Amino acid sequence: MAGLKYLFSLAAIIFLWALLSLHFGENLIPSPASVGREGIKLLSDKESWGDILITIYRGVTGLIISFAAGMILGIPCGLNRKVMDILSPLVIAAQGCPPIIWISLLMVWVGMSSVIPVVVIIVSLFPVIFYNIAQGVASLEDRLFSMARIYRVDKVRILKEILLPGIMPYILSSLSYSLSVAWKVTATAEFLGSPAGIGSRLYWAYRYLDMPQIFFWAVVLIIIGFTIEMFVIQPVREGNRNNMGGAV
Amino acid sequence: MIRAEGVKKFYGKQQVLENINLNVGKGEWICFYGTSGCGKTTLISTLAGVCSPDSGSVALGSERVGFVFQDDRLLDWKTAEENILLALRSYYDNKTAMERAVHWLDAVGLYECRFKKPGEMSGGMKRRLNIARCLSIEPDILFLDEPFAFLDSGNIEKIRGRVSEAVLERGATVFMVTHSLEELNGIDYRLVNLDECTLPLVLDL
Repeated sequence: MAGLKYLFSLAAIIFLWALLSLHFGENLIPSPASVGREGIKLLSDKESWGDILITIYRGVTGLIISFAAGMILGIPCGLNRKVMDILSPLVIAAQGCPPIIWISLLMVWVGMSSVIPVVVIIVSLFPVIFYNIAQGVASLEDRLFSMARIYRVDKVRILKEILLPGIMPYILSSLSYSLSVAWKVTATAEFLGSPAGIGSRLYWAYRYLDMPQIFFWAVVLIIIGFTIEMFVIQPVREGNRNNMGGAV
Repeated sequence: MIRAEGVKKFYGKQQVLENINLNVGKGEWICFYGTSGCGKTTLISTLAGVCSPDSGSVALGSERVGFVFQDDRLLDWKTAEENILLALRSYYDNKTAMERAVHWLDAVGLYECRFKKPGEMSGGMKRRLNIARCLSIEPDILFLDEPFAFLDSGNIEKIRGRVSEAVLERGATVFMVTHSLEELNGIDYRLVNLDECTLPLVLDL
């Protein structure tokens, strides 16, 4: 039944879009039909697929690195206040620094390349993931680790049976946030500092005022985000909820 | 068996324990009695090693310790059986651990619920699981923080019987916190009335 509802809202959006297009004219808001035609043209071109793949590749790479760093640094910080006190100002500084500064610096340091979007994803995602994981670990500290200490559960089992499952809700919420943010950040970084990828295609479409193409790439980004939410995040979240016996 | 010397403990800026000295032998049942907020939980948590003292020392030896936590401290993502097994696997091989888990789940009337997770259990059931986990490892020292709160009256009798049987069988030492002495009917205990003390606590036992 859910599918039917989605179909209905999709139809409503397209209908509204068509109305706006009629009102403002093709030059400002291209109609769904002309965006569709543009899409077919672009998707039959291998280069467009290359750009889509490169954006996904950058997004995934940045995401994996952010998560790895977030876990590796977040877990000790959650376990130990002192480590947290040392690392936290650095993370806050990184978080406070707008992506545009990183983009400018990196353009000078490494030139236009995949490094820019990947680094920008990391600086945008890492602080959030880091704090989430550290907070998750800290929330287990008082209660469950002391229980494990009393019952002499060894370190490996604490990690495997208490820490990782215990912070799973925090990992999932960071993952859901990160996945939704990663594509937007990648596209923005590519727009400003990369010769390839969806963002760069958007940049050139904008330079040529190719409205159907801008709209088409926007639709692609939305579809990527939507697909991930529907087929990755929601099933995982659902699985975790069942695992908690309906408690969460 | 258990010795504490000059134990101090602060919670933030507030000092809860001022000077705790005790030397308690095997087989004693010590009951800390008092209204809430008098430092009971801090006292037995520090004695058990759940939290470390800010100064002074506590020596438990190599004794096996069981703790019935006031807030249960169960893993929400594990079944009742797995929760008990977590503790049991530290002391027994897999087969014995499994047998003991089943035995103790049955002893506290949770055998039917062994595959349920804490989120699907009532407060009383969680407390019984918490008690079963503590007893299943054959502890030499038991720390019981309001163990019989949340239990319905029908169960209290039975569970208290299980606890005192297990304690007597092993000649174990018990530190118990309670605000209702009726719970201890029929048990030979030594009462420490914390209501007669002022905060921060000074104790010599």
